[in-house]
Amino acid sequence: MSLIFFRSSDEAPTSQHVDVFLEGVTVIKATLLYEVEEKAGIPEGYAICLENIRQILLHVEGKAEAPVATASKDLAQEFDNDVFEAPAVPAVDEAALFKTLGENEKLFKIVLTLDVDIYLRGFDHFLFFKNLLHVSRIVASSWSVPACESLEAFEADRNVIKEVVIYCASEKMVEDIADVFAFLEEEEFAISLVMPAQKKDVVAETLAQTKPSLEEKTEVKESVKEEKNKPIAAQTKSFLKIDSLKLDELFDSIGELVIAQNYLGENDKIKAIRDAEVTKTIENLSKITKLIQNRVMSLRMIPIRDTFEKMKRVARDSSKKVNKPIRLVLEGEETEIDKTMVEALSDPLIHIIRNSIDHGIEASPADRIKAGKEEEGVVTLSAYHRGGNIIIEVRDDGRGINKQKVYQKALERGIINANDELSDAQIYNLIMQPGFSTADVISDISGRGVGLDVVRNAIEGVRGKVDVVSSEGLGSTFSIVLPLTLAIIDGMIVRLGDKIFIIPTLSILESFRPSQENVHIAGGKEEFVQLRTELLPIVRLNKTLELGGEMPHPWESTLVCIENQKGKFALLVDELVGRQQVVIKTLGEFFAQTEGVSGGAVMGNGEVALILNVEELY
Amino acid sequence: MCIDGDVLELDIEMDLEEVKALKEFVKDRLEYIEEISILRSKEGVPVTSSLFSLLFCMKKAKPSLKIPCIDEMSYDLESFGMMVWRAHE
Repeated sequence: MSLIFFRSSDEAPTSQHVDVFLEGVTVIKATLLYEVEEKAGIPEGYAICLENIRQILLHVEGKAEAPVATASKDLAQEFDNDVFEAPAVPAVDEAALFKTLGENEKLFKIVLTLDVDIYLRGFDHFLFFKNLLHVSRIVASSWSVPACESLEAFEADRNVIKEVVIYCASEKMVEDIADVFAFLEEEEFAISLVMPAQKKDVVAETLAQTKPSLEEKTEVKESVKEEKNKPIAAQTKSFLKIDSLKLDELFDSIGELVIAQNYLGENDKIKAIRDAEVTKTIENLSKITKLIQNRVMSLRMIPIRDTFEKMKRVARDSSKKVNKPIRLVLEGEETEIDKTMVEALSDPLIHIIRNSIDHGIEASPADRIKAGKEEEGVVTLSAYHRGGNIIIEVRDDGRGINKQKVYQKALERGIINANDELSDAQIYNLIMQPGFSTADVISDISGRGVGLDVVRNAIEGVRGKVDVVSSEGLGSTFSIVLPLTLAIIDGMIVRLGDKIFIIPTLSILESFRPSQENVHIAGGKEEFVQLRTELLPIVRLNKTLELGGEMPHPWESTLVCIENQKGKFALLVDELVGRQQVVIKTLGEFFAQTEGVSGGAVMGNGEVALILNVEELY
Repeated sequence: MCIDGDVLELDIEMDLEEVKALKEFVKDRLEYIEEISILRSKEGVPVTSSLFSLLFCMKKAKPSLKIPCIDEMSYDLESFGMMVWRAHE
């Protein structure tokens, strides 16, 4: 009831009201969970929430009775005018408007709720009227009386007309009408097709015959009315709900198709057939396979919008808890991401945002003003594509990470040694070590022992990685780099003896063949290579995977520079074969615990190549 | 815009800047104005809704002011259709 009151009245809910409503949602969810799990009792906060709602209801009921007099439609009263007597409000009669329609014309209803700054943005109600004439014939319009205070306070460039309803007749489609309002914000306009009353009744009566109840008939009419008022997006798109298991099966089948296609393309016997038609057919098949693969992949992709929207509540709650004014800016909500990853992304994002608000943004607005910033802290959440990956960034304009403090903390906790030389990136990444916290005061929302290492583990669980960049005094950016999909990875194929392996390219920094003088041996055992200013440990793949075989000199082999949680290392392989997208196959329970290997892939020639788990190699 | 005795005549095609000037003009002269008449050419249509907001504001400031297009609560804008005013719901 209180929600209905705020929806239908001019009174804006206060921040406390919004808190109660949001708390209400949480309590309802918890109550449902109690029901599902058949738990006894009521969830925590239930009684307090109920009491808060009661208080709002008392407030609302008081208000709801009062406006009866002020809601009088008599303008004479409104203007306190004994001379001016406004006639009764002449409502636009939709039924009468239908009589004015031409043979193929439809009646459209456009509701404009333009913002106060509309004139400053270069728009005007009448500008839309003018543009509407290109696609329709304007029949009538209904204007809410401008809400002006006094002549002195009147500002010509501030819109005080809350709502304008335009009725226009056109043979065009709703999309053509919508084009006129393309530059407006979504919430500033709504277009619907008006149904003739007769048609509505026919629908209602037909349905009523099957269920001849008066109430149901009313309900049907209501639903037709609702249908009529639906925004255009809902009218033009249709959706089909599919069991995600079926999609997974389809995905697997496409994986098999890609493998079969690669096999066909690389088969020596087929290659030997020097026939233009065969070559052309295989090329054609390859293109179609690629097309199907892309289309099927896109089925699992959903916009990240919903996950981003959830973060508004997180930011709001966190902001209140630590008493810091925060503005959350969302960018790139339309970016599509694999559904499985969306589910896995939610918790890490919540944690990073809380962390940014709690630790990133300055302790008080006064500190921000002192630093020459706005009082309100800005946390920007953005998503975009870069180089075949999806990047999700959480950026704050706070105080940045104090490198020295992080370094000291890491030393104190024995995460690093005093003689360790760390780059800026390595120092920043220390904050994602288990149990690490630089916060002086442990707050309720972060720094509870469960640190950013949880974030890193969750992201790595979906084959992604987290990078931290910070500038002291200016803010920090957490970048989550994710592959486009979980089923296919972009891999570098390497050869070791007669075996081939795949390294996820996301972890590879570069590859090189060192000169003999850059290779050093410590204690007659440990091998290191000098790469520019860095000294990297050499990891021999055959030794790590206990494959045996020859032990060539590093300067006679290829070294692949890889970065994992612990830092950089050089993986020694015989040869780089090439880069290829491969379909990931699990190895089954028996091989699941094999160290250094995360999966397998069937190559074009039918051989199975193992996908290396770079976190376990060094 | 011109004053003919105590009738202020306004052109319906006034733009936003002209509405701003109109507000400045009427704020000290409202007590001398008895009627506001809107002049329209054959195909003249309003350019800004701000004009109507100002008219309502003037009406509120001086209820005895005659503004036919507002007093009647509806106004035929020809190609822009019939304009109907409704009080706050």
